[in-house]
Amino acid sequence: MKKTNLILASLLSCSLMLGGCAGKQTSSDSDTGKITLTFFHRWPKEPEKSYFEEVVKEFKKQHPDVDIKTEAVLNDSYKDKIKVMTGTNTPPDVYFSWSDEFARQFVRGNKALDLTSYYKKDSAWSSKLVQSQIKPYTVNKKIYGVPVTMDGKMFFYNKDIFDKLGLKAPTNWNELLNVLSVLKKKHYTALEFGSQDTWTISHYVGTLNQRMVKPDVLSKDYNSKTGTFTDKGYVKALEKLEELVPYFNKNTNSIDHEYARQQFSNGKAAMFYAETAEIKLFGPTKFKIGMFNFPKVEDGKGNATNLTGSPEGFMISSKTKHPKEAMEFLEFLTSKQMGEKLVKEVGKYSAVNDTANSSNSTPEQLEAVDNILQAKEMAPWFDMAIDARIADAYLTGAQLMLNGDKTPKEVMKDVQKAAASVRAESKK
Amino acid sequence: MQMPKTNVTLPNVVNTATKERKKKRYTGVTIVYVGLIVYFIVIAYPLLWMIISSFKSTEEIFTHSWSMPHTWLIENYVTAWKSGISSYFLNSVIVTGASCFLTVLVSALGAYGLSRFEFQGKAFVLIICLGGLMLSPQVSLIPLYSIIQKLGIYNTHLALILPYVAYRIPLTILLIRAYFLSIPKELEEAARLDGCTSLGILFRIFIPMSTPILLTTTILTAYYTWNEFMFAIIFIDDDSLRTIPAGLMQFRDALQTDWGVLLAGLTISAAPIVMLFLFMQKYFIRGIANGSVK
Amino acid sequence: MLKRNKLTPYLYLLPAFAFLLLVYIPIFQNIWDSLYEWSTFSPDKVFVGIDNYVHLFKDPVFYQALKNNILYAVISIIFQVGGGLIVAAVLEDKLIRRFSPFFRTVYFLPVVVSMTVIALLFTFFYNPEVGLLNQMLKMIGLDSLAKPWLGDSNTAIYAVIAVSQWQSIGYIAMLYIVAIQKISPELYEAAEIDGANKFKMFFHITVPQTKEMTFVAVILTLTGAFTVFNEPYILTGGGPGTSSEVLSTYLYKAAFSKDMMGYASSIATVILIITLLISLVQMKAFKTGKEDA
Repeated sequence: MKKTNLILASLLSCSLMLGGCAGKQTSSDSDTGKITLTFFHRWPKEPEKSYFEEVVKEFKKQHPDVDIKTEAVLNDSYKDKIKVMTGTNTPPDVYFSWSDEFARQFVRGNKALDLTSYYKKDSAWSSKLVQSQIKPYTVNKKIYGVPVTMDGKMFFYNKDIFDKLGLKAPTNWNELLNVLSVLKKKHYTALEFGSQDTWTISHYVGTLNQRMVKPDVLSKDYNSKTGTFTDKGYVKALEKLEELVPYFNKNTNSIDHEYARQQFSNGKAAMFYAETAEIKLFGPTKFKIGMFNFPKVEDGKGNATNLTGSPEGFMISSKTKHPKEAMEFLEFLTSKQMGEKLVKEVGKYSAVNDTANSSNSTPEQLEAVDNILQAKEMAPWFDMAIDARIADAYLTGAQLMLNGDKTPKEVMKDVQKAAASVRAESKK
Repeated sequence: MQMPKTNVTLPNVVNTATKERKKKRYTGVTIVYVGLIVYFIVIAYPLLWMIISSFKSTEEIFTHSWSMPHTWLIENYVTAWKSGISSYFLNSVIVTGASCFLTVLVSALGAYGLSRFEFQGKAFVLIICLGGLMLSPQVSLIPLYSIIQKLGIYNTHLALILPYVAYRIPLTILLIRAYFLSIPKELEEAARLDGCTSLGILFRIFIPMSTPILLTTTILTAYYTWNEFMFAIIFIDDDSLRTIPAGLMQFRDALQTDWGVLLAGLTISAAPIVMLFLFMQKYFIRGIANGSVK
Repeated sequence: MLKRNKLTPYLYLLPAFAFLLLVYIPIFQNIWDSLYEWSTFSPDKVFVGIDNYVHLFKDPVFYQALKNNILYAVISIIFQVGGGLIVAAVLEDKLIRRFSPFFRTVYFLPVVVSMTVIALLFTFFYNPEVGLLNQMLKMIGLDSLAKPWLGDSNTAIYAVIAVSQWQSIGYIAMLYIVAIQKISPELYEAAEIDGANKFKMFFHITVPQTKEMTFVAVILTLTGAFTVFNEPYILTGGGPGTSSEVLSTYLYKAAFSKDMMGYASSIATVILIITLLISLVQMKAFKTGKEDA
């Protein structure tokens, strides 16, 4: 018996040691006398990966007393991991965050550092940012994040096809429907849409809500504490989306966004609603690309011209031991030099002013940047503007609506129910 | 008068009957073979698609999904290897190797206890062993994360090995136990008469006899740990410790995925497991398990 | 049965129990957590008692997900356990054994391929326009059956279940092959002499002799059907709408998208209870561990 025990015990410990030897210890500040910052972002793939590596390298050169440990995890897994890390008190010092609701979550849980004083103090830096991109990171008049990229969602169209049919970019909803029906009559796939992932639907719904619902009603409803979503404008917005269904490709729910984009860039579809950041992803096309903002809707009571789009950026953990250095790093990341580098190497639009020029951008990209800068107002991505539970009810309902399985009124009923339970909870 | 007739007709009847039976057998066998081949195509075609697509560009996969590649992009494999796999290969080998070894060892010991001994609460113990089957690992993410942090093994290989073993034990114990239960008692009794301890019986008789199931469970554990993605991303931060699935994630993104390269990476990644499986095949020769009482 | 020292079996099980702590601590944590509500971002947990369960049992999506899991279970038993056993029996049959290694290697391959690839593959396969399935249907003139398989709320869950069967039949078949190989050939020889045909031999020898493996296969398939996550998550994300939602994906959404951690824990506890009941019933039904006369 004793022998058995001994053998078992030694086997176990051997294997544990074997596994343990292969592990590594993470170094702590005291080991090296340096300050270590942890930097967590969502781009393990190129070209972003190298871009961030180089920014970090450059920063370390200029600040030899600071060491930065970078970690990058993919999009969906990023959402998981940041939650797990924040939920168990080991958050990274500097971390990526989408704006609006996603950022607000951190603020509500006291996990984000208030950066307003830095913005005021380092005005030479903060004034160079595109000011409209700071608001999405502002909560209760305090600034909690730094925008790094900006984006907008627009209709892209195949100029060659339009020219052939004598069509012009529409300026209102009726003209849009006209254009679509001409395209359909001439047997083109008028508007390509891949709605398998619900975020693609949220962009349409969000913009239509902006157009159809009065702004003050909208801001009341988007607030978790007061949202009811009973305004008829929401039903009308969904009905407008339904009006587009005959002009979409068939079976949008079976198709994902990437496949849909391929159909557009291959010339198989005439139009596509996409983010300006995707211009680079269209690749070299055999046709000229044109773009226009979501047109105003004639019977809409909402904002007729705002551009849907949000910045992406970084926040600092409220528990960080080195707020000053962390902020320095973010200011460095959003300096003019690093901004231009972003545009050139990654093809995204920096939230720093005057970084896009003809030497690092294509004419379409410059046009896109222009659109963003000209926009009198930006509207956030819909699924980032409201409570996640309401968004879920909205989008799963809308997805069924696209199949004809639910009516706009039924979808809104579900939304109202979700809003009611969110309201009840927020009162606690 | 009838007798001679019967004598004459009987052989004919027998012949026709045998012929009928033979025909039935051949048709039966043919139908079965056809069935097997159809099933084969159903399985093999998609796998073939995967390999062929790994030589295409992302665009070509989307637009010409079912035809041969326009040009065979071997670069996909080079890119996949260089940036996705090479640095992560060793980590995957270590994690998978240790996990398989530990899982099979611990499970064999446990299965032995469960199958060859009578004791109180055996059924209860069996149910406990099945615990890991009863929930998706996703559910345990946050509690496990805390445990791993507290044990101080976060961001080490152990952070993956220990949970993997824990979640594979249920299946492995079940399988090994099922196999052990079918080993005849006479073998044990004979060994006992020879003065063997229970541990000795385990290692000298049961384990060698159970090669098929031990190999099967090794493969099943290996394929799980080799491809496991969620824990691999969340429990490990250091790029230098990452396993292949986490490494391959570089080729994916919400807006754009390098499908050709990703498929190439996944094919390369699947290769070692497939080879392990092929190697294992020769141990499935009939007759190894039988006839050992003699 | 041996009975040397009362402690011996427990000692053999000790290492396994040590590891299983990593499984059980989260399980109990989950059950505990299901009595609270909180979000990962706020530090306070609010005790809500059985509120989460009350909410859950009134939730129509819960029932939809549960129904989908049940569909999964029924179809998997038929195809994986039934189909797997038949495939294994066929491959181990004297007449086919020659080619068996070849076939069984191929049949098992899907198991070693990562779900990411399989999901991509089947997304193309099911594509309504250029997908292979619809093209094949067109070729044999069954146009009318062509559907947007993953995008239609009526077919989505079945399309997902089919993918799981594609991957897993070979897995169960493999397990049965191992079990069948252990059956003494004399049993079959004796039966043949008695004039039994293949069907009789299958039902009277193969099936009873693989009882223990069937117990394993049924438990695996059933618990798998209630804990399945990867296939629905990657293929449809639970959509369109919530038509292909299963308990695990619904749980994941609650935890990671909607930030309702307590609610997620309550779903996990329900899954646990279901699988526990299934295992208990199986153990009783199979009288596992007891030897046949």
